[in-house]
Amino acid sequence: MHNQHMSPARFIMLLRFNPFHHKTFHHKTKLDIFLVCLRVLILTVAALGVFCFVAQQINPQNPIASWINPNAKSITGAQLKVLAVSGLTQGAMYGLIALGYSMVYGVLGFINFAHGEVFMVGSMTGMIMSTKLDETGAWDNNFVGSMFFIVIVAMIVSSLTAIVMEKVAYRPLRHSPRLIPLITSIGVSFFLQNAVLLLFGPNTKTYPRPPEWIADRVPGIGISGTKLLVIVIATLSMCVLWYLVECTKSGKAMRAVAEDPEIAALMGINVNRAIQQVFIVGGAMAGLAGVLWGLLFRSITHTTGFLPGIKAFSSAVVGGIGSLGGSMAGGVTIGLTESLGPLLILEPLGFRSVSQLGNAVAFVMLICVLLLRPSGMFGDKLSNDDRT
Amino acid sequence: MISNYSQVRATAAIRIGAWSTAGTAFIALSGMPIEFNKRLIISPILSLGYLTLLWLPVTVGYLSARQVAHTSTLPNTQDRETRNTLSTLLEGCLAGVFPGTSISVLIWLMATFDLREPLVNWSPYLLDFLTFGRSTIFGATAWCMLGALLGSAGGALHLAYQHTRRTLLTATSTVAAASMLELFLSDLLSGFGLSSAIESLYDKRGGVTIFGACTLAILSLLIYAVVVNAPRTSSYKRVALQFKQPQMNIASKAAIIVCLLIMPMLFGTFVNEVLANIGLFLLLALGLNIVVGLAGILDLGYVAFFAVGSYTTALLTAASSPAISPELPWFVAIFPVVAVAGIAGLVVGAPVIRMRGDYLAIVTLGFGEIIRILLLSDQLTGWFGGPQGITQIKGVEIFGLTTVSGVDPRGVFYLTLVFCLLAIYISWRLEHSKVGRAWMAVREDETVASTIGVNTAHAKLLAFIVGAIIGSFSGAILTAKVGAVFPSSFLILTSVITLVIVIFGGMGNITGVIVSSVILIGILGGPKQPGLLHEFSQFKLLIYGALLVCMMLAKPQGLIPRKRQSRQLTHEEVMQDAWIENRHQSNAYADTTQQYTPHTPEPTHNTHRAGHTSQVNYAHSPEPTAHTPQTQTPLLTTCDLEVDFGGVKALNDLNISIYKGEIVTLIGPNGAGKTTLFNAITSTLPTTSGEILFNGTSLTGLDPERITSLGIARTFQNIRLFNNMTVLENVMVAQHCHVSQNIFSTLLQTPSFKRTEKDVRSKAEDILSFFGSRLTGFRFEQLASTLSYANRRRLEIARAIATQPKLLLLDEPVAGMNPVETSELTSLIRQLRSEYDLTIVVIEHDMNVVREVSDRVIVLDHGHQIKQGSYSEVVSDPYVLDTYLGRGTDIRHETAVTL
Repeated sequence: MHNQHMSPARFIMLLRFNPFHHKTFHHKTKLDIFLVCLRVLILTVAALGVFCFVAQQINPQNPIASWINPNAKSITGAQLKVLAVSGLTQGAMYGLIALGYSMVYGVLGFINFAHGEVFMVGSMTGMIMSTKLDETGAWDNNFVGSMFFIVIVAMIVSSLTAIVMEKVAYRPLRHSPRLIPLITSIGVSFFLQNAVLLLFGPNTKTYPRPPEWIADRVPGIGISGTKLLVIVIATLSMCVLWYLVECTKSGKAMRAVAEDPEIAALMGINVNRAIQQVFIVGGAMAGLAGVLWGLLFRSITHTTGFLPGIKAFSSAVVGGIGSLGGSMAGGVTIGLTESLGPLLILEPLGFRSVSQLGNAVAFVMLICVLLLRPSGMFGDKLSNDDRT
Repeated sequence: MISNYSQVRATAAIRIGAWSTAGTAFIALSGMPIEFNKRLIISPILSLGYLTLLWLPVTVGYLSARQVAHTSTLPNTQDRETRNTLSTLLEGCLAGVFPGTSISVLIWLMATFDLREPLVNWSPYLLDFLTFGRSTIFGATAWCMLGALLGSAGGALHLAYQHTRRTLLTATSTVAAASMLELFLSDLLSGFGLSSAIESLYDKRGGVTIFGACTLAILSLLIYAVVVNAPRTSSYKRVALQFKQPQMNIASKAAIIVCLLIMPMLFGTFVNEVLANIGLFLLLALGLNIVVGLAGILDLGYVAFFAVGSYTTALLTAASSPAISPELPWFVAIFPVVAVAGIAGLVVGAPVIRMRGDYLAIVTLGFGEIIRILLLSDQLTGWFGGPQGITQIKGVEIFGLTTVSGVDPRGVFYLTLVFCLLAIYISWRLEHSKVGRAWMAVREDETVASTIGVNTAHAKLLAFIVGAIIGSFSGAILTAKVGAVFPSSFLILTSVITLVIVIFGGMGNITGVIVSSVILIGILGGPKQPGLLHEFSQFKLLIYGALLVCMMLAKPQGLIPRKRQSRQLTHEEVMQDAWIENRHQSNAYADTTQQYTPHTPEPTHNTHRAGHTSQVNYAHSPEPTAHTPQTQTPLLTTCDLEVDFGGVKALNDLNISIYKGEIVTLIGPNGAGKTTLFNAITSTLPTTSGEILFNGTSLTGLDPERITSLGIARTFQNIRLFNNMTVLENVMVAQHCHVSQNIFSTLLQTPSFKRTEKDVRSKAEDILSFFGSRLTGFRFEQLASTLSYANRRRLEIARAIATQPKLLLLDEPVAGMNPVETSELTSLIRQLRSEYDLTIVVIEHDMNVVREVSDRVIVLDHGHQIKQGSYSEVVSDPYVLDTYLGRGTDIRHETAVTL
């Protein structure tokens, strides 16, 4: 059946044989060259920073360390540990928020920009509850019980916010191009932020101080109990969520809807309910993260949701959007990058006041991931439709 | 039945009412009523504070009445009218009770509990306000009754005639607007020297007097009556007029400019300040409009370019700037500023343009934040002064005559006016040129844009650069206006508000953007700049957020859409079709359908197979092109072409040749690789191995736009038009790679630009007229999305031809068409070849079409070529019958008949 004779074109092709030919799809344009240069530049700066860091750890006076930064000084292991732990804690919370971004993106295919505000609403609820409980004395007397109560209430309020948001703003836009709901969610984010501002006022709110026994350093590990609590709770809830999504019926429905809503509906899955559940679960996780955030940093305002929200989205992308473990891993990566990056890369390169640049480093990390590996560390779980 | 029906109505009323309960409580607790209470609408009676709560029951009543009317299931009985009147009023009342009760409950709660701790507005003031300064009981009862009353009023509003409703609405909104814009209007009136009018119209404590309100209401009604009863052009004429490009003559342009020039003289300092702010944000919005509205790139970090323009100007003009201080005059500095902004656009744009739309949005947001963090950081204090910014910047000096500084907003207004006009000119010119059409094509469908020859990366980068330059104008003026720059002026907030302006006005529409920036910035103000309604300053961000959501939900195309959408066109469509019918009757040969229908072969009649087939084949082409493949060099050849989808080989060692001037049909079962072959040829898909030669050039590794410019065009199986572009634009944009216009000739309107633009247009009209009158006349200015299915197929072919191809790839051109349309298109394919000297490859399943159209048929299966030859050779091949055509009874019958 095959056309086996030697056609002229076939002959020409044999003459032009190039072993690398089929591997290239597009010709390299100037843009590609620019992008390659950019990647190389970023990686070189990172590598150089780490190299100088290693050099200054060995001896701050050695020529490599003082080559770029004349006042290089080595940092102690304890300092490093403190930074790493705070990065880890922050990352765990980013991971919790990122779950909501990731799940909504997986199912509806758009970035729910307002998810950061859901986190903020959870945090505000926690603040109100904890202040009230502190007035009655329950906060100090029965910390675990009141904490449990606060977390539950915050999760419910955040979930409710997410549900209303989905019903009012996103459901009517289910079939529009993906930028339309994204723009809508920016509006929702603005609205929620300012609604909270108007209701609760512009000044910074503080959580009551956690009781001594939990705020103290845990003997043996040497990190504060609050941070340990945050990490433990984040890990636990991650496990619960994993069970929920992978092993329950409604989890299966959510995954089916993420894969293909139309087919899922044909299989008898209530798509609206599955999507609502996604928002509930995402909102609950954000609410939990909000309370933990308040517990850790103690002061919050109506704008608290913005930066963590964007960083959490970055975490979702870094970990590979649509994958649950990826969100958590991405969160930890972003958290660690943000806390260690300035010290590890920028300080040895002679930047001043590097702690100001943590946010910038986190954003650069996001850009790098999108340039180098847009599907994230663990690969995204998106349907083909979403990927194009 | 009836009880069921009332139940439905009651449920709807309760649902709407319940939503409004939360809304009312939120508005009351947000502090709006207290803040707005300072402003009186009608002097002693009504304040804006009460109005914010009172409009809710009316609206809710109206909405619930309307909602039920829409879902009404009541049979059309005689007493329907009367029953409807009563029940509509009742359910308006029912719905209105909800917000009323909500306030009553709030009053009770406030009197009982103290929740001032988290809720800042839980104050005695609010309680006092809500109870009208009297007892709690009085307040609670009053609100319940008010709610019921106003709710029924809303219901009654729905029952009233449309005219009555509009009249009421006009009068009310005029009075409300007059009192809210008191500052502006009294400024304007005193500018004209009419201070006596101010005194009679406005009360000393603010607000319109009762006399003033009555006068205004009557005045507005008079104007309304004049407008409504104005003699109208007949609807037939109106349709024709609507499709004409609105042309402004020089006189009206001059009048507008003169008005703008005198305007600042009439107003005081504050209104002039507002005017200057409008100008600043209009510049930003015009820039973002190019990026978001035309090119469809959601850039959330647009504020970065604002910052770049501002800081560069500051560095170049300030005497005290930390790093360099060349102290250039502002008008000299603007040139390097433009250059720097352009480079910034390139640097921000280049890494992100390959990303998907939503990732791009977040990354640009990141860029916006990074720039602010860098400006704030200690590291760069030496350059940008850190949080203190750069201060003591000189203003603008124009020819040494006028000095503009922060204290004189009038000068700033003139400066912004000049630059706004420049920006409007730039965006308008670019929109109606090769560049603008390419942007729109990229916005609509990037893949298709590249297959018609647009270099998408270049187009997007250019949008970034032009947007950045226009944004930097705004930054430069801000620096001159304030005399200092601080990092805190460049929050993400600015980007978002600019985005709201663009979306509110209508994406991609310059007029819309102008109108919406005047409305939004004029009334509400910018992130830090005050608007005319300074009471709103606390609430403007909330309103911006709500506005964004509402616009996306209700009117995503914006206040003034660029082109009208399909729903508005239905009536006109009907009229146009009637018009076309008329023309056809007077002009019989124009109707190709009738001409060809009799020739459509019915399989059952074809008893003499060979003779008839040849007759059908060459019936409409004067010179039958019988090719003997071996004697010519092929136009297109594939050599061992392989496309691998991770194990599934869609194309497997495919070797086919297409010769110049022939029409080849590709047939084969689903998944045979027919469309994959098209995708591989046009480089929409990467090939795994093998090579495609076109006219002796290898296509491997070329970009789609390069392949198009070599002379290959295609259509898509599922029609992919640029839906939000007009029919004419769809065809004009396809000539992209044959038009030589650069951005400078476009802006300067050189004779060569005008000539090419005219050529492009006439060529597009030419190509469209190939399909008879279906795509011409009215249709030129219609959106592609409003066309019928068959017309969309035709337009796609027209677009492909406009790229001036040598080889045309048609992917199932007649799929979904009815028999008449099918036979018409079939003959058109042959005409296309002779008219445009084309070689055509068609994928088709309809064997009648295949028989009529093809010189040669190639059968694919599993990525292999299993047979090629003339139609009769192919359909009699046993292997083809097995794999594709089948040997079922029907087919056997047909083959027996046709062969």
